[in-house]
Amino acid sequence: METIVQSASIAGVPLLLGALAVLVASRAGVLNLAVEGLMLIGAFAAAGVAATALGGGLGFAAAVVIGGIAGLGLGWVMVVARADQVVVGVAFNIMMLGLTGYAFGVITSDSRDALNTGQPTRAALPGLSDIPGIGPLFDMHWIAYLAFVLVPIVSWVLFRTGLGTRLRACGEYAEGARAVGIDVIRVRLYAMVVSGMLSAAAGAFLVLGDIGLFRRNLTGGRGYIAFVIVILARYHPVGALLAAAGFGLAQALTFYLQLQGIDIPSQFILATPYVVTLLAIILLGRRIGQPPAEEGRPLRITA
Amino acid sequence: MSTAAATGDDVSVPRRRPGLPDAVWSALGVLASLVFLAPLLALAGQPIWHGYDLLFSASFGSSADLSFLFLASTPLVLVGLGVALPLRAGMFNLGGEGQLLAGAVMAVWVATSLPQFDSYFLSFVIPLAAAAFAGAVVGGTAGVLRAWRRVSEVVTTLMLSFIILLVAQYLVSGPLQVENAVYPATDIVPIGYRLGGAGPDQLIRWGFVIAVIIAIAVWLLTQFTKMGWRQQLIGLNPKVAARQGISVGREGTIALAIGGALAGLGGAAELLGNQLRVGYVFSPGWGFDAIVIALLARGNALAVIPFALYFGFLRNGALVLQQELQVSPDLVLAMGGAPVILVAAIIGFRSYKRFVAEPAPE
Repeated sequence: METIVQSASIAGVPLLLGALAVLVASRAGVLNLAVEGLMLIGAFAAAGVAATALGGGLGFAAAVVIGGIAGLGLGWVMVVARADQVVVGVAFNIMMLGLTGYAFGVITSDSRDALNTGQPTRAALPGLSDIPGIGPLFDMHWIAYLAFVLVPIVSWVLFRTGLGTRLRACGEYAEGARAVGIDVIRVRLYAMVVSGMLSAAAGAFLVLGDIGLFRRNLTGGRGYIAFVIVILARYHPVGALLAAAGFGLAQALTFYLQLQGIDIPSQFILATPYVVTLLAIILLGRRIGQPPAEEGRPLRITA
Repeated sequence: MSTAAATGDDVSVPRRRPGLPDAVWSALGVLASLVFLAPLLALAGQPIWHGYDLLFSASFGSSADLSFLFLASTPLVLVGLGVALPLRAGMFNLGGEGQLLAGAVMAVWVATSLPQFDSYFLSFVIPLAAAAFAGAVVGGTAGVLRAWRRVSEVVTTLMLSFIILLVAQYLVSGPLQVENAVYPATDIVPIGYRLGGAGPDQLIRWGFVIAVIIAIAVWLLTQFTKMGWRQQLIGLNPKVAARQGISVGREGTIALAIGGALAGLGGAAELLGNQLRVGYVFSPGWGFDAIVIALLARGNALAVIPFALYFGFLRNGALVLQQELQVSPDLVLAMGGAPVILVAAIIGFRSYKRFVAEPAPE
């Protein structure tokens, strides 16, 4: 039981951070399909810095800074230059998979351990980590706690502050938001910076809190899973937490059942979250997964 | 127009833009990506000119190399069409990877379980038709979910891809696994079903011939049929299309189903013409290359062919670069992704500037 909770939470944290990244951009009206690529450069930056003497903390900081810069660049292309958001997102992911994979090959051919950060460090929260059953939830890398804390923070900012209201206005009715004096372009750019930082944090956790090194295609589609999670979560941070937990649990169960030698094809368990999401879409239809009305639409009114 | 303004609907249809056609920008993007190879090779400390030499001679060094180029481009043409056709209807088919795998698995299943036909025609058509059907079911599902449940095809095509990948992995390591196999893979396609070489010196494979014929057929379909026109219209402006009495959901579903069928054919052509069996890893990412190809081709079926050949050229060359210089074939992805961002930004910026320069007439 404890091992399942442990591997589920480790698998769930990057999905949660990725889902928050998708969510913040979508709520502002930007379809940020580039989360996968942003995760990859975050992971690469975190591994590159943390493998040196600088350590994990600076590795995380480097990842978040680079993620923010990349998010700003992407935001410029998507929001200011008004390029097609799906096109740019997919192309960015392909390019980052290529660049990080290629750079990984170049770097590790010189020194094998250049991107190896070693065993993940854990910071057990005193008291909480001793709770039977869910203890392992509080015995993880500190980035995980940051992710948990971000859920109420993002909820609060989105739904309880003026900034969040303006951001959601840009996502639901951009022309109206502009008419009442909101700088839609600027809000969306900020959202993309935050989205880039969150994605990179997810990548950093993968390296520092889970795998302990960078390798080619480390993210393996987690950035795309984040979109499925956000749909299932009805574009709400708390829902994202629950859905990410569900996806993490499916991965953990696969691992556990294989260890136990129980003969269920692992692919069936891994496919369960997708099938559940698909069924939810079919059964609940329009009540779930409706994106903000402006998602993916560039602002058309100018001058 | 006046009622449209009153209800706040956007009924404008994009008009032709002044300046260089988008196709020119796409071609320039490809050239830019070739230039991008130089810093990447320099980063690895490799001789740059030797790298370019290897890249080009991998596909154009001899007639055998040329036939490898056609072989490498075959799945890219078909899956590229599978993305390009829905793109005209405003649908993003990000699930080419899953659809081509569905096609390949279906084709290998049909070819290894049916008895040998005496008819050459039947053994040619049946696996391809089965693959197209499998791909169409996958693509059509995304279309139905979009029309009926209003869930974006961007997400459902991706999600279906994940499911198919897992199902295929299960099948090739279980029910379809060849007996006494040490690694997960299906049985080999019998000789009667394979797509061999065409022409006198077998330079071009039948798979590539089929791909080009289908590309021409798709182009005719998009240019000269009512269905092609309806799909173009829902892509340009669904509201206008709906007012013309076109069922946007139905046409979108058909577009995605045809797209899936084309991608499924791509998987079958690769299976029957090259790999001959489906293993744990079948596609190196053609479904994603196809997105880039379709976007550079701006949804034009004929333009898909040269861009698919370009990506076949890159993938072909990357393998040789890997053998000779020990650099990762990920080079291709880095080179392929960059021009699209550039081209998308330029095209987006130009259409936006045009919009500012001349506001839509009332």
